[in-house]
Amino acid sequence: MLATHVDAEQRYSRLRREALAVASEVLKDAGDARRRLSEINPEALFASKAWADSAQRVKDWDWIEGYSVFKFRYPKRFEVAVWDMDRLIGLSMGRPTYQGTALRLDVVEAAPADLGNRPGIFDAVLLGYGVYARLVNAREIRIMHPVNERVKDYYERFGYEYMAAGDYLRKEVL
Amino acid sequence: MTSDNISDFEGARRERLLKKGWTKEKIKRLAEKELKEFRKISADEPSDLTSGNMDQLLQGDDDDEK
Repeated sequence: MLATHVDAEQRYSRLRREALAVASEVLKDAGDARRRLSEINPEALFASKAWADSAQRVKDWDWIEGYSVFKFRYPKRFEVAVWDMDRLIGLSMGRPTYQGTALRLDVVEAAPADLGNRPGIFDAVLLGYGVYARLVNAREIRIMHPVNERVKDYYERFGYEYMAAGDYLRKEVL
Repeated sequence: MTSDNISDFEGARRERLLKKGWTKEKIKRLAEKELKEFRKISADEPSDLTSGNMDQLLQGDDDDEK
């Protein structure tokens, strides 16, 4: 691996951890005693394997393989695991665009509902992305490739605008 | 952030943060404001919330602008 790649991984790892720390602090100050945020660590990846047991899972994703590839390719990435106490309830990863002007939310998945009741994840995920976007000076956040109309409509309620040409929703970071 | 001091951020990023007038506290306040708005909406979160294309990611297909 190039020294510059290793250097970027180390520098941006610090920013990722800081973004997650700020977002976690905001959740806690808002009275959220159950949810916590972490990097996508080995514990999260192991827990994600249980999602394959779901009969309702929308996508048959392998997060262990996907995260390994993403981590190798994108040292400036953002990543977040959402936990309800000690139960994994969501995963997401994304990265700045090559121009650096936008932060992409490349993949996000909430734990399948048939595996047990859980709180929502998206507010916490967006919270983390918003802090990281400001730290890396991104001017917008892009949610890539919504899987269906219902999810797309949901993102639009957060103020995101759908761009059909690239199949993503965008919102300016103010 | 581990530091409240913008000077702890490296070079160009520090300049951009200073231009925007962002400090740790300001970023945190913006996040708090955002969470208040998000919470009003998140009660209706779809139970099957999923987005992205992991296959494209694994294949290395690049859909980013150059």
